[in-house]
Amino acid sequence: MGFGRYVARRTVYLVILIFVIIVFNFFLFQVLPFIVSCPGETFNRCVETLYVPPAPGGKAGTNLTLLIQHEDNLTLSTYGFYQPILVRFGLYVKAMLTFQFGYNTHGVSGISGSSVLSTIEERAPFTILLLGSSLIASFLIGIGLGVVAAAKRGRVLDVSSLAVLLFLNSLPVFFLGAMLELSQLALTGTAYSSFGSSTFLISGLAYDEQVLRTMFLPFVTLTLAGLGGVFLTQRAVMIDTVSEDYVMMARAKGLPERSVLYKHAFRNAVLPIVTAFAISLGFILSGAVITETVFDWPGLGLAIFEGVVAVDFPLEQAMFFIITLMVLVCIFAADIIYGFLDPRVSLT
Amino acid sequence: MIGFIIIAFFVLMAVFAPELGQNNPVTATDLATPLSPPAWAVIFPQYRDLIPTYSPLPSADFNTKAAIGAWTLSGQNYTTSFTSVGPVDYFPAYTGSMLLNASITPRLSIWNSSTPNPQLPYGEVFFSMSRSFKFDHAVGQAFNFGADVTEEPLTMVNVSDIYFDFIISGPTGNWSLASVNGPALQPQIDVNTNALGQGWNQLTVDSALITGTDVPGLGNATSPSAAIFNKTGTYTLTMELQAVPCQPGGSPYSGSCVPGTNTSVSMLISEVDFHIDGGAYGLLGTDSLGRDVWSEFVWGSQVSLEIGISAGVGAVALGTIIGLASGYLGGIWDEILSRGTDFVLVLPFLPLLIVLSFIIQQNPALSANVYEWIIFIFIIISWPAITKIIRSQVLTVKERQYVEASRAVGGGTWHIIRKHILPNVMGLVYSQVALNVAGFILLEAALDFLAISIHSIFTMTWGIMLTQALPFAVTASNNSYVWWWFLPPGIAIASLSLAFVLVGFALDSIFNPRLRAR
Repeated sequence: MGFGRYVARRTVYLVILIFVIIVFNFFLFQVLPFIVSCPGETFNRCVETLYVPPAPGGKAGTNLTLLIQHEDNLTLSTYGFYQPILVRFGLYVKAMLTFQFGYNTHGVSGISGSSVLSTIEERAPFTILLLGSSLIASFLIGIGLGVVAAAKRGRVLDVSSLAVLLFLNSLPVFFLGAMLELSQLALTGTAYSSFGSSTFLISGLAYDEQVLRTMFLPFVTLTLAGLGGVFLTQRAVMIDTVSEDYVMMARAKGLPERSVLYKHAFRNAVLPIVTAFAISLGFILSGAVITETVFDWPGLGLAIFEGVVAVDFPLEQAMFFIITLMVLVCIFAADIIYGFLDPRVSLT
Repeated sequence: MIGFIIIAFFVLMAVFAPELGQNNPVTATDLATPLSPPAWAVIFPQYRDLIPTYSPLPSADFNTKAAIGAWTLSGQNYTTSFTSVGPVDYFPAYTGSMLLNASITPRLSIWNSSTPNPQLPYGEVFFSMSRSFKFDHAVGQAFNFGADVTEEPLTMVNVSDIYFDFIISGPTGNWSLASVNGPALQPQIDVNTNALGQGWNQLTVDSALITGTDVPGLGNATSPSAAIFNKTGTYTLTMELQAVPCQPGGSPYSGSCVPGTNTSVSMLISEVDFHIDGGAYGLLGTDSLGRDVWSEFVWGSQVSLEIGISAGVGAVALGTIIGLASGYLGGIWDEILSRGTDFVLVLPFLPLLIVLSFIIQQNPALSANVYEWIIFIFIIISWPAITKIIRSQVLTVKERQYVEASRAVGGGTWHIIRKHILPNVMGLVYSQVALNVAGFILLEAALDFLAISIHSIFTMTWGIMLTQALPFAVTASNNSYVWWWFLPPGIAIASLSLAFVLVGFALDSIFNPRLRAR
């Protein structure tokens, strides 16, 4: 098929999926709540579920108040609420594609009426910082351990690391986090101070330092939590690969065992891991919600949770769209990378 | 193997939950002092001083004549006798009580607000009963204690209210637990509101509700028990009854009663109990509301297993059906179903879970009292993964010789699927069920933690236990981080999930043809 055709096919697929996601998102946030919670003509709840476009003049501010408190038809129809569903859908699609997500209906970042986009911009770096670094760490350690365990299969190192990591994998993330907080309290006598309280009124280099210090515990939690899966997969793939024919050939040739393992087997075994990494990148936000809630880390996951608590539909809508977009892009990237690394894929 | 043992353990626990967990995990509060460690923990040195939960006055209910004999009675003009009438609508039911008939010499102008007499706030003490008990535990500790009396008023002639006072006297002095300064604590029968013959009342004095000014002599002591039980020795509990001889509807302050020769009271007293909610309780201690952690633990296993297993089986069933259809039917069906599967696969599960849960909760009529919605959402989110696996297996089996032969002989679609494809796929199905159940147990706990799970308020799950325990666990180095409360559910979730994973791995290595070929 050729690599170019492969990429083109995947791109078309991606675009189709994005469109489907937009439709699904619309359904989820603007149609479903009507069906579920607006029996009859009670519009109080229903009004809040709708996407709030920016008012003329830019700021949502007072116009937002107008929107929620006054329900006379004139005001509402200005914002397109009572218009037929296709018109609303059109407005919605335009908004999603241009990233104009509207305004928070409740004070998620502490400021009611602030734009959703700015909330996302504020929060995203923190999530990326924490989750990205722990993802990389867990993968590096997991791959390393997996290769070594597969090499010394059945021996003490393998069995013990298998047991420990299997158990670690089954622990609920928040439980693990709490245990770590607890051990910090027990070992050092100082409680874990969350991001908000410890960085209050600090700026500059001290701020950066404090951010990193506060990040340590969640970082360790996430790394440990993600380690299990990576380790198990890498170990399994290595074991599979090692029983392939070409490895037997390499051994028969008399190559040193180290070269056989790390040069031949590993290169091929690393393929599924690379794809797993790319896919995990897309899914980190799912795991982020719990961890950020436990440690009060001001990232996107916590924003989702706060939005749920505060019944903030525009925020939830935007977050869901962003997350799904990220997942799609990462899977797309994973497919491309895999196609690049493994010639068999693009040729079939 | 280990997996099976662990699963069997928890399943048994779940099945026998009602017997194992005697106390209602949500509503039975204050069984002991909140945040107290398990009873068996007293073997450890730091817990040795804790007071057990018990009732220092045994046979406190008057089931037999002898039980009444254990008490020292005194009063003005009274007679007592034993009757086998007891409160039947209480649990456990009592089968006896003491019938008290007393005639009272009332006093006029009893209450003078400028000189309150805490011992006789309203009326004459016409009857009292007392009993001694030994207190030889470590002194000065904080624990809850309380006294109850279960009684039924029969007749009150020219008496408007009866007040009960509980007095503890001993090496540290006399303490009146229900004195005039704390009217909220004053257990009483008001003849106006408790119509005679209306039934049994249980009147209580609880140390958890006592503040310094309520009990004279207590001052600003933060812990009533530490101040009162400050020395070992013999203490006496005395219950005093005071009669207010006013016209019905009059107030104790008016003094507008005319004492007469016929001022009398007749009542049944079924139980006088003095109990100590000690510092150590039960198999797993208590939580912050004094509930039995062991009961919570046992009942929680029911929910976790139910949700995990039904969602696991459901998701795999749905995934298998779609996978079978997609794999075997091929062609346009395969295209459509595969694209659909891919789409659902892409949706991030936790945000979707949160959002769906959130939307359903907007409509209280739908979401109250049911956790079937959770199972439903879990199934919707997780069937694609199974579909993919099943589908690839079906594709492999489809090309085998015997399937082709069967088709050639004229076997219909359903026949082939049922007899040939399905048996080869079932092994994978079993292992997938196990692995999915593991995941769902964890997911359910996570949802409970985020407080967006949908279930009735009378349900207790391991996730809720963890959620409630965590704030206490990470901040309190007192009570040694309440290890008895948050460790059991956390480790239970982890080991149950792990058990299913182990079983899943085992089944996988048996049935998965890729692994089997090695």
